[in-house]
Amino acid sequence: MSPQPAPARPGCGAQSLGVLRKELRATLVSPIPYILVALFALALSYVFFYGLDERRNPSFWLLSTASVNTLFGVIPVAFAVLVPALTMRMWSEEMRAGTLETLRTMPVSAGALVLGKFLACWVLLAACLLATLPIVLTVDGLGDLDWGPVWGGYLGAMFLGGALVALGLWISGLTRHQVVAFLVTLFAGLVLCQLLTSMASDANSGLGPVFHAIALDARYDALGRGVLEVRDLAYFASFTAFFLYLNAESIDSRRYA
Amino acid sequence: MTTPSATNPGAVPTARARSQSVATLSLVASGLFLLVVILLNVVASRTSARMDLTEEGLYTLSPGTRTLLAQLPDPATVRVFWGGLEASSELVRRKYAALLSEMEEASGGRLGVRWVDVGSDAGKDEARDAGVQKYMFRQRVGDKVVNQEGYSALVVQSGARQPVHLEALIDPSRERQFEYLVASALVSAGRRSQKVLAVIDGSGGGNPMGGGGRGRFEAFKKDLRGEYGDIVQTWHSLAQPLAENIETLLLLAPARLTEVEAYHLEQFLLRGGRVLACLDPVNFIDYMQSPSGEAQASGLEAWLEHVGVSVGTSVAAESDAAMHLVYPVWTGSQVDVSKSGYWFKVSEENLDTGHPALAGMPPFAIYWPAALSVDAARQAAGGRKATVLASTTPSGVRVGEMDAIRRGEVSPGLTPERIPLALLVEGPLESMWAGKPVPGEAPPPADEPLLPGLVPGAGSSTPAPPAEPAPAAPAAPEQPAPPAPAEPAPAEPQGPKGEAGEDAPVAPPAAPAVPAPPAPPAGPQRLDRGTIRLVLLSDADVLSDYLGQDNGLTLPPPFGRGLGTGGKVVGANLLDWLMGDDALLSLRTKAAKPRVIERPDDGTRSLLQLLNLSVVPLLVGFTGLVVFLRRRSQG
Repeated sequence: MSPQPAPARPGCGAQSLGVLRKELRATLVSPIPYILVALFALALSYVFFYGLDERRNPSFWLLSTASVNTLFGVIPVAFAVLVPALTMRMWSEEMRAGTLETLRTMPVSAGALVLGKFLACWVLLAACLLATLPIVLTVDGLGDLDWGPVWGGYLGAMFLGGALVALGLWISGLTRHQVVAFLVTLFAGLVLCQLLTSMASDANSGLGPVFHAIALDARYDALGRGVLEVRDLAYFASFTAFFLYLNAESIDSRRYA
Repeated sequence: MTTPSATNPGAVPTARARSQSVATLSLVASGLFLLVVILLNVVASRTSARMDLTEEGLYTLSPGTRTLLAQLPDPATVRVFWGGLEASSELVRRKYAALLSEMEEASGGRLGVRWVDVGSDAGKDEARDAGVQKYMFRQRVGDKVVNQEGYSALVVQSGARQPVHLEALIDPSRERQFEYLVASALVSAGRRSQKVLAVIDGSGGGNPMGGGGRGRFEAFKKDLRGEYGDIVQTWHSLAQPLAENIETLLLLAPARLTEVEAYHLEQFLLRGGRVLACLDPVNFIDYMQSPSGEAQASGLEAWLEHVGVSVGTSVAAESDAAMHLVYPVWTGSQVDVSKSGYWFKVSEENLDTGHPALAGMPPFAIYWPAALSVDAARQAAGGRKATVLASTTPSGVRVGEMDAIRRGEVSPGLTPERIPLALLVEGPLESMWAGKPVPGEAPPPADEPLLPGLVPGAGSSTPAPPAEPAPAAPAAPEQPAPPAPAEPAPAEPQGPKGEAGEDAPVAPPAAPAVPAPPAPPAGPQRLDRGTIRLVLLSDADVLSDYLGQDNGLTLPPPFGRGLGTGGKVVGANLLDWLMGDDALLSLRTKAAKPRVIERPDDGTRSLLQLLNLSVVPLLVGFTGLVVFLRRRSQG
């Protein structure tokens, strides 16, 4: 009697999609993502229509220009706050509840697990951005909106969000405390999306360009103007890939801990 | 019992050793990954591959620039002096580098671009030798703000001609116009003749927003100097004849010009000079300070009447509310916006977009313009052509009361009509003073024979001082100094030069000169007729600092944004056209498309805000609540 052939193990892509489905199912039954999306849409609508200050972030009505630059301008800071809330529980919760070990016994690679969780967070970010579409449509209805920078802004926001999610997931994989993961990711996000640019203006010529080259919001700025540059896309992609890799390594290394 | 490793070190390692080994491997792999990431970014940072998603292709070379580059008369070089600036300037540098690289490529080898390393001593020396000015800025270092120096300039050289400098390219206003600036510098650097553009600013030092001593058009004049370089000359007034090397005159906000000044303007036109005159019947200062009275007279009214254009004492307003533009209103600490029929939009359908200077021109804002009208019969009789370049809608009205203007109300009961706001007058003109003495000058003795079509004028006799001093003439001359007053007549009258000379009567040989006194330098000949080209813009505010963008002043948007720059584009394009630089016209309009919204009424505005603030959050929140309740009910 010939032995039965072992069932083919699904590829990394299929594994990731499986993890993505599982994560989305787990996330969407919780009220938290809905609250986050609603708050995100509310905050951005408020900033857009009422403005933060007359000089740097004037209201749409005061500008009277068919442009959504103000909206995209606040996205880096908004993401720096939102992303930690999305990523904090991704690994910490698994570790706290002891389900990470169970996960690791499944025939799924660490890379597929990380990628699945990353995609789940990314989809939620896309939902947040989708919630801002009515603002864009309102502006388009009132004037001659140039959609090029709008697509560039959304694409840039997805890349920026992806980079922050990768960072947040890695931080979440380092601790079992969600609050710690949230705070560290928040701090790192604010540094990368706000502080580095300020420091670049503050520093003497030596480190300024380096800070500016690392700052995520500076890279995002060009995309938001409607110019897709290979160097910016490469930066976001490599930043994301690097932290996803670190995350997979840290999860994988727990097998041997 | 012993562990396998204790008896055989080469056998299965302990869990601890294995963990350490995996950790080391992981660390090494991560380090290698980081190295690859850094290398990838270093390589990517050296590429300029990009995709421009903007509708107007703001970050891509326009066809006009490509044509210009392909037709460069001589090989040209661009030396870029860039460095020592704030780190945030990197985005600007990248944009410039990409555009210059594209330009270099499009020129087919006629243009070379070199980035000078201003960080090195050799680079600094080169900058100094080239006459490049350092860019001064203030930067925060720790808790101090210190003055810093950097470079953000380029020098364009074509053949052995004088190089053209573009300075302060880090300024946001220059960033938006970079393509146009470089193209115009290439045109300027390649010019074989040295045209001169004279600017006379009648606004004097009356800019309440710009501090004492500044005129109201400083930003526009600065832009002109940036674009045209040394060929821009500032003249204080028309009290003296303009120099013969001046080809084009920009007359800003003329106020109460004397007859002598009107005469010199006409003589300049008859000589073939081209003029862009921007009238300014009501300006911001009048609005703020003058409680009543009429619109301010330019002093050119009588002469314009002679040319066949009436200005009158009223201003044009729009009664079509759709054309009204918003402006800020301060209510305590709040800034709100309002609308007025005196601050309105000149839209594309009311522009002669068939004219090269206005092709592709977006709408622009105009502010208390003069209400012009054309006397067609007089134009036809003189063989001239008056083209309306811009006008109000058919709902334009003429308002003569300053009180009504101050209230911002367009009085009801006025007859609506399409009022010209910009005119081009071209064709032959007989001087208003033909057969008469030169204004301000004693008539010639009765026994002195007059040459046909030539009477003693500024260049052939001693001109009397102007009837009254020019109202806005500053005490100290700016560079270059206006010419000295014309001296007594030369022994032999010189024939008129240039385009007008062809139309002017040829002077017969003069009588032998009287031996004494010695002949002084000659001034321009007086002409009684010639062919003129005059562009009359009914408002100078469109070019003013407080309606333009990035003017460094303190007015909030929408004054500082949107349509404000459109007027500057109109002015600059008309000047380019008058100077014959048609190749540049399409480049400037490229970046100028304003996207001003149709402002809804307060009710619609509130509704839109409410919908945006509530619908999506409520919808998403409600979904979340349903999901939560269902989950709870399922236990």
